[in-house]
Amino acid sequence: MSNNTEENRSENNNNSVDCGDLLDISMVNEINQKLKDSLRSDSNISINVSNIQRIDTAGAQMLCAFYQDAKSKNKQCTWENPSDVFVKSIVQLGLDGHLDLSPASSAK
Amino acid sequence: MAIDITQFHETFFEESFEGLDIMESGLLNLDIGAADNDTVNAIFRAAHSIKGGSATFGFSEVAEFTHGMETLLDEMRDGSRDVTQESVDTLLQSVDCLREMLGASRDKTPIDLERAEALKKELEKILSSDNNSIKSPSENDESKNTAPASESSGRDGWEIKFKPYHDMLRTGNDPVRMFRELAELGDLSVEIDISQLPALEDLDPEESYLSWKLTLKADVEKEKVKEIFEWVEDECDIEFNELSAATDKADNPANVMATATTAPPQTTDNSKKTAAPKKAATSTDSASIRVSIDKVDALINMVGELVITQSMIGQLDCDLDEFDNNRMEKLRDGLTLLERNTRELQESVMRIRMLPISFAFNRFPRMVHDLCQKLNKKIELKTTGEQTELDKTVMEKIGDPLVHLVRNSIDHGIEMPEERVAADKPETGIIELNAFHKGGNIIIEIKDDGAGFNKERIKAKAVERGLISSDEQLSDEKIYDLLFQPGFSTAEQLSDISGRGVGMDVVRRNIRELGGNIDVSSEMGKGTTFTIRLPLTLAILDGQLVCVGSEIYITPLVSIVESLQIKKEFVNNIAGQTELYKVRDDYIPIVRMHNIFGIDAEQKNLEGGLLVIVEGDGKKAGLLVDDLLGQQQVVIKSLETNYKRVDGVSGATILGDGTVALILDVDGLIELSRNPPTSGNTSTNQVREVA
Repeated sequence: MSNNTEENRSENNNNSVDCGDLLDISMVNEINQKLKDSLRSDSNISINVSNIQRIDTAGAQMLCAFYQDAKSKNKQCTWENPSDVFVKSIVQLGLDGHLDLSPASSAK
Repeated sequence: MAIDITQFHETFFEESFEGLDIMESGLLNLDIGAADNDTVNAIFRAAHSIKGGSATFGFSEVAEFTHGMETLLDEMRDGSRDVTQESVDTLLQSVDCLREMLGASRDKTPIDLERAEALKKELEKILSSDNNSIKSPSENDESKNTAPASESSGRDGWEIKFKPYHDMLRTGNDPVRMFRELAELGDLSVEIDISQLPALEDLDPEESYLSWKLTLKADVEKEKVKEIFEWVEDECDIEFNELSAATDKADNPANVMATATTAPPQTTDNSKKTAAPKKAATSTDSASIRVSIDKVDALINMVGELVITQSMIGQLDCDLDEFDNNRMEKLRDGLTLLERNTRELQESVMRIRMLPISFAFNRFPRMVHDLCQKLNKKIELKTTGEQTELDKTVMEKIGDPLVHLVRNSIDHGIEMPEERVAADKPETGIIELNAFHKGGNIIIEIKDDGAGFNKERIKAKAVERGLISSDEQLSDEKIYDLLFQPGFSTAEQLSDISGRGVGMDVVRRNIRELGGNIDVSSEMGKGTTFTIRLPLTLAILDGQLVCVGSEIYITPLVSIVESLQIKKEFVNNIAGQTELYKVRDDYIPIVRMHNIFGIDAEQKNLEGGLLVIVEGDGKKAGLLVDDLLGQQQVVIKSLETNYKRVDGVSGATILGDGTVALILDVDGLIELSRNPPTSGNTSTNQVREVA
């Protein structure tokens, strides 16, 4: 299903975490580690959710935990071009407020 | 560690194909115009599960296609749409299409989207058909267990408190999808409580820490709402409260809650149910088998008995000097017990491979239905003994021969309705499929009350084809045997259903490959019965041990006609080469086993020798052996897997003393005796090498 490769998920120099196109329970452990690593760095974090074609509750919950942690550590965290699917699922779960996303945030 | 969701695919496909079988048999049993609500519900649930599972596992084309079927079935079950022949036929075709789509998804081959698209349009056409065929809610039967969503009861909606247990997400159930389904019922507000969500460092991302309060503003029955959560009832705390002015707090969110509102759908895509699978068992095997708990319990019980017996014998393991008669007696008892336990354990293990023959029979109602429509015939299918159990491998291999025989009965056996009436028969013909156990075998009968075989026509065809001479007198058995000759057909017109003369020989060959046989009995004007006899399992064989020189061979008991001592006066030579033995009216070729296998035998003279008369592929032969030993069940070990194929030998087994004995392939042996390998050919050498 996912076309992701290890390369395109990897963290790049400006502390960006690419969530790939699939962020469900089968992928959460892998992304979880990248998110933890990004929180340990000093720079601000950018989460690339532009390609997400499917996200489930496990994936959304993990992003929420990450975002809350980032906020508590005063790190600036931005969602890169959120895909329509991503935004809809976050809204469906009622997490949009906790992730500072609005239904209109999806990628243009 | 990431969950490999593909490990559940096999179970999903297995369950989906079972669901399709349920849908198919349910659709075939629906009474047009007066459908039984339980049946419609069962069909709906099966479609619903397939849709849910396919969405979960990412087979989106399958989920999307099933959605249309589910919508139509939902309207049927809530009574807002009549069950018409057109809709049943379309649903049956959709079941076929779905089966192919699932097969393609499983085999990772391209899905025939063109066909799916055409059927989707058919379903949409039915769904958008005018109100003439759609009942108003007031017309609906009050006994229906679900009321239509449009039925007004003055209800404001539902407040649902939903707290998944930690492990719920691991079972593949996803609140995102449940809420999406819920939103399709009406105006849904979602309030989430993240107060239990730990910091990322302490988070187990596969566990659930969230809880929700959902407010659904819609005039829907509680059952409709509950249905969405039916798969997770045991995996969450859930509470449903009917909304009233007092409880409706949707506009008053609590501090820890964020609120989101999702609008009801604008499209006609109005799936109403959750899409979550049951807990799936881990299965990565390409072939699997479902075993009832009773069978597993029996097995565990037997292993327990075995352990007790082993410990009983273990207690005797002491100094041999002290081994007195008393201990010898106990040892004997222990060994007797061990033998009994081993036999029972073997039987229990074999039972695990046994499946009810309904797995093979289930395809026939649909086949009869379709072919009746195509041929304009009226046929009732009756099945008995569906619970008769058969080895899974035998079951898989008997499917095609059964299909061929049933198709033959439909196409050539049962007459057209007007012909039947003219023959003073009921308009509707009957095909019976019966299965039962008899003497360690399973018997399957395919019986029709059709025209029966015309013996004279079979004989005439056989003469025409040069199979028999015109003045040859044949018993009924021999006449019907002609039906199994390659290319033999009495059908005057070839159809795409049967009658091409390709098949009956293959049917018999397949059945014989399974160690079984097939008989025909027929009465003109009354009908035909095909009787198939099959062994219960392919893993164990009832064998006769025979001795040739220093070697022991196993002859399948099913192939042995009789054994006799050779009398010289009954031996005839043809052209000084072929030796024939006269048994009553038959002349049977003698196969000198020691020559075939290149063994130095004790009995090289025919006089006084032992002849085991065997039959294979319609031909008889007499095997010359030195001695007949006992009869016993042997466990078949494949030679091809462990070595290579050897002509005249179908497998091997290990005898009680640890020696390897070859199991004779009677058909192959007869062929080998008729057409001996050219010099230097390795048949004999192969056998020597193996032995």
